[in-house]
Order: sequence, then C-alpha cells, then structure tokens
Amino acid sequence: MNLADFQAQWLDLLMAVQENPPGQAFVFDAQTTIFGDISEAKITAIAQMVEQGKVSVLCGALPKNLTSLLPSVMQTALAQRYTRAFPQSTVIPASQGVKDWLLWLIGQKEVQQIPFAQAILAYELAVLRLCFHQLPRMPVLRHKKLAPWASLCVSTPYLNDILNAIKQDQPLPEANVLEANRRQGWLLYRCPNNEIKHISIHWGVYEILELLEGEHSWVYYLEQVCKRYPDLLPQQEMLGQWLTWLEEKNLLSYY
Amino acid sequence: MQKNSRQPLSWQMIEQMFPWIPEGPILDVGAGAGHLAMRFAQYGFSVTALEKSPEDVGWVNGLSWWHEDLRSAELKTQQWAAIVALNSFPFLPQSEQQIQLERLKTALKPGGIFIFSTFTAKDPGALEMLAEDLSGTPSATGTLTFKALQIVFKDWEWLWHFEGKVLDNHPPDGHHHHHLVQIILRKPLLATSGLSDALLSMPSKTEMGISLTWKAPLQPVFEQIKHLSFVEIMSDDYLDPLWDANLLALKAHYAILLHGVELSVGTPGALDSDYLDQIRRLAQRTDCPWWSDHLCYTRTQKHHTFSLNPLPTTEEALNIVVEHAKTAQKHVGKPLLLENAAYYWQTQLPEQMPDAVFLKEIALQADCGILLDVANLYGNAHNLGIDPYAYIDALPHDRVLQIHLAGGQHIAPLILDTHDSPVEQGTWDLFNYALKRCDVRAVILERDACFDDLSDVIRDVQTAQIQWGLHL
Repeated sequence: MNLADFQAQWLDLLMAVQENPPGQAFVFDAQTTIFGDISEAKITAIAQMVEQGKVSVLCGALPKNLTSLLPSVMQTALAQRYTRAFPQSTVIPASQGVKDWLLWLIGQKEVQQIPFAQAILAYELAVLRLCFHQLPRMPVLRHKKLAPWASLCVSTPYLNDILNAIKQDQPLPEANVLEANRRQGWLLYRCPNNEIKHISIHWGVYEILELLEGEHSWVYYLEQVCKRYPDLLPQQEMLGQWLTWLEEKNLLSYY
Repeated sequence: MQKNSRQPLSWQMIEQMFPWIPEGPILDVGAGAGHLAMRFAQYGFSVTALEKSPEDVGWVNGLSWWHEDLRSAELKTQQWAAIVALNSFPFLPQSEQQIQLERLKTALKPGGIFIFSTFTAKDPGALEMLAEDLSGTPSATGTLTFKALQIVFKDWEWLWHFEGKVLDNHPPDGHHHHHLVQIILRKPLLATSGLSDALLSMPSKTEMGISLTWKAPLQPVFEQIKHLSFVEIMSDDYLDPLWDANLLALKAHYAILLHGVELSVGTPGALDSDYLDQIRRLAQRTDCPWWSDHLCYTRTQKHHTFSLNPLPTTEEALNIVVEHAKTAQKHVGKPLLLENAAYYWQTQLPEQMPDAVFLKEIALQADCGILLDVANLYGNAHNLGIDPYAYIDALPHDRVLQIHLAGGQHIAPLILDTHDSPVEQGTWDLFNYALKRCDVRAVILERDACFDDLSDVIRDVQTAQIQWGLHL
C-alpha cells in the first residue's frame, strides 16, 4: 500500500469512529490490521481526541459577537455536527474556511431560533470579506469599484444596537416581529488602523455599489439605476453626493 | 511579470505592499520635505529620509533625516528592508543612472521591496538641465526607459509597473504632465537556505536561551522572570496580515521564532504554496533564524483533521518528507526544523525504520534541523514503548537546535500532549540528557491552557534556566 492510500485509510477509519453514534460499538474490521496492534479502545480514544481538537478549533474560529449569542454547549454540538458532515473542512487560514462554517450555521434550525443570530452572521460574513491593504498584484481597472477593504451586507436596522449590546454585555434590543424582519443595507469598512466601521446606506447606493465592476464609473451606474427605478430620480443628486463621499473616504478603489 | 497597470503609482498601492516589507528600516531616496517618509513612519516603520537639500522638513516618531547626496551616502550592503525613490533620479546625470541603481540594488535586503519612479525621455523635463554632478555643474536631466529597468532588474520579482502620462500639480508650474516609468519589485531571496549554510549565522546559545510560547495570559510570567528575550508564536495564528499590528508590537519587545502545525510535510502531492507564501512573509517580517513544524501529516485530499497523525517510517514516506522539506526551505528562505510529534499509536510495517533513524535521515538528506520535543519523546516512550535515550543518541546532535518542554495529561493507558500542566520529572531527565549532547540554541516551554495559577509555569521556566546554566 502506498503512503497516500495508507493515510486515506487511516483518516477514513478515524472519521468512521467519530461518526459512530454514542453508545453503539464501532465495528473494528479486518482492514485495521494494517495499522499494527492498535486496539479498538485506543482508536476510539484517538478519534475522540482528534474530533475534540477540531471542534475546539472550529469553536475558536467563531467571531466573538456570535459566541456571545450562542450557548457554548450549542457551539460544541454544532461544531461536532459540522466536522462530521464536512471532514475536509478547515478554518486555517481563516479567509478560506470560516466563511463556509458561518454559511452552514445560517441554515441550522437552532441558530435560526436565536434572536438576531442571523443578523450577526450576515455582519460577520461581511467582515470576513474585508481585506487588509495588501496583495502586491494590481489588476487593471478602468474605473473605481468598492475597495477590497469595504463590503456590503444586508442585516437588521438594529445592527448598531445589537453590536453595542453584545459589546457591553447588555440584553439584546427588543423589537416586534415586523420590525425585526425588516432589512437594511450596510456598508462595512476596515480603517487603516484595522478598526471595523459600519454605516447604513440608502438602497440605491447599495444597488450601485453592487454593480460597480471596474469597467464603468459610478456616474454611469447612477444614471442606469435611476432609469430603472424612476422613483429614485428626485434623489439622484443625493445619491451622487453619497458616492462622492465614499470616493473621498477611499472606499472606492482601482483594485 | 504583471501586466502593465493603467493607473500610476498611488499611496494606496504603496500601502498594499506593507505586509510584504521584511523586518528592517526603509530608505526614502530624495525625500524632499519628507511627506512620504512621514507616512511610512506613521504606520510604524523605521524610516530614513535621504535628502541633499532639505527644506521645511517634517518630523515624526520613527523618521530620521540623512542630509547627504545619494552619490556620497555610504549605503551598507543589504541594509534596507525597502527602498523608495520617487522621481529623484532625474536629478542625477545620465552617466550615473545605472551606477546608482546598482548601489540601491546592493543596499536592499534579500526579499526587500523596491519602489521606484522616474522620468522617461518623453517627459517635458527631459529637455531641461535638471541634473547636477557632485561639483554642482548642471547637466541634462537623467531619464530611464522601461526596457533599461528590465535589464538592470532582470532577476527580480516584478510585482507591478506603469509607464505613461501622469498629471501633477505643484508650484511654480501648476497643473502639468510628466511622463514616468514606475515599478514595484522584490529582490530575490538568497538561494542557499539549508541548515548547513545558515548554521554559522545562527544565534548562539547565549543569545537565546529559555522562553515560552506567546499567549496573552502568560504576560505575568514575562514580567516576573529575567532573561526572556524571545518568544515562539504559532505561525498559523498570524497568516492573515490583519495580525501584523500585533506581530510588530510583539517584535518590538522580543525576538520571534515561528512554529506551525499546518505544513503537513508528510502528505503526498504538492505543498500548499499560498501557505508557504505567508510563512515566508512572516519569516521575513520577524527575521526569525529558523521556522518549525511537525513531522507528521494533518490532511489528505479528503480530510482535514488539524491533528498530527503519525507517518509510517518507510522509504516512501522518507522520500516525500525530504522533498517537501527541501521545497519548503527554499520557498521560505529560512531553515526548517522538524519536530518529533506526540504519537499514540504506531504502524508496524515490516519495512519500517526506527523513528530516530527516520528523523535523522530526513534532517541529513533535506539539510534541515530538528526541534526535539522532549515531552513528546517522554509521552511516546510511555505510549509506544520506545527507548527515549537511544532515540536521542541516534539523532544528529549538531542539528538539534531547539527543544520543547511541556506537561501533558495521563489518561490511561496514554499520556496526552495537552500542554496544560507542569513538566514531569521524566521529561526533565530527557531534557538534561539532550542538553549535554546537542547543540541546542533555544528552549521553549509550551503552555496552551490552565492559566489560572501560573506559579508552576514560572517554576518550570526557572528550572529550565538553571539546567541551562543561567545564574538567576
């Protein structure tokens, strides 16, 4: 057996042990003999240790805002379910794996039942997209688009209140169902000192920022969006001022 | 080489290079009033502004002025982590352009960043007499072409370039155009990166000594114990440049060693080059003498375990690890130390070689070093029944540059490598044994959990210091 097959079999075996429901004995078949004199008890202990390690890494990768909302027992249970469902998953480096982990959490029933967890997940996914001022590669763009250190998200209008409440360890804001279900466009950006800020933005600005791709200017898209939504025409100048302000704040860039 | 950009150099582009500037000072050639140099300094870099005739110079922390002509300035070899020369070369006569470029090339560190802008022959200023020789006699403005720069920097990594018209606005001309050639380059790393070549320049035993893995809750230990001049960080925690601010703050106080878990040196197939890029970035930024990871595999195509899985000590595994260790060292540009991982089981294939022989052969064939974790060795002796003293005896002692100490948990029938308890006597015995035989330069106590009472951590560090020979 070559090394790749050996490693694949060993990790398959470990995962099989992990997936074994609690209290149900794992069937230790003949193939395990290639792994020497390892006993069933030992492999079970190793599998548990590996899973605990991975669960700990996954829980450790959860953003603080989210760990404040999700009870730790729930975090562990979710991480365990996730690692069993996606054995190839990784959260190192964070930019690759945490996104998948958070996207998976959005779909989980118990997370959906926690007030404002979806709002925080939307916010944290947008935070993940914020780049540091790096990458020594300069793509060729004709016009500016949303800078890599800025990103858009749709969340509750209560986002400010929720983040402040979490930060100060205060109860979450109360909102009636209709209000809580409303959605608001937010622009997040990373300042040069790494501080993350967010501002609520007009839906027309949101639409234009989403359209910017570097081939056409925001002036072009402002006209197109106002043509498509005639209701916006009276606000065209105001939207233009917004975009000028974003440009001045260095939130639009050529890369 | 990257495609020619349609946009000229901007401050934002320079800012994007920050994470890739290695550890060291920055030189701004022809700094003028120091506006650019001040911006570097405000970000925390140490900057020297070289300017022959400074007027209204600015000053901020981290910025120092050097009032000298580039041509008479004594530039030391490989002194600067980055050199920025924006439109200062037009003031040098044509005959001096290449000479001064060559001097800047030599003065930049391997891996250093070169940011350069100058006039082409199409610039309106090219028709004037902007340059002066050292005696002050005016001469024709110096210009360069993109092709000339390509020849001078043919072996360098070209990250970005631009050639074209740029709008400028300053007195007394007001709005006017320049025609510029602008480049951002990286100087190649030194070709030799194996341990044998690097040993002579390694820090000595007396320069390093004993310290700890960096964890914020351990801060009181650093405040209470003398002689802790360096720390080891988990490199995987710092891969994202977002953490650079923390890294640079740490670097201001301590020398740094990098230790990782995600290299997966034993996985067949190619290593993760993005991962190695970031390790290279960290290695340059911290100027660490070596970096380390584990002799194991953490992933396959199908699974990612984050756990250190034992390799069968076969000829095939040996060849794979040797090739990967060579590739990794070359990519990162610093020697790699491989650590003996904690194992709870071991394959027993007939063609296997003894563990220590396996590690020894890897170190010798890949020209890499060894990080001997004596706690892992103690645990493996218990868990697998190997003779830990024979293991140490079999290693190439001149390649064991670093030792890890830690305490684990006894969960029958195993000792687990949990890094959360005091170092055991059996581990201390192995530590002593290894210290007497190996050319150890640095010892790290690993503590990853149980920070409520740090008295045992302090005691362990002091014990190690005494055994090392430090007089407390």
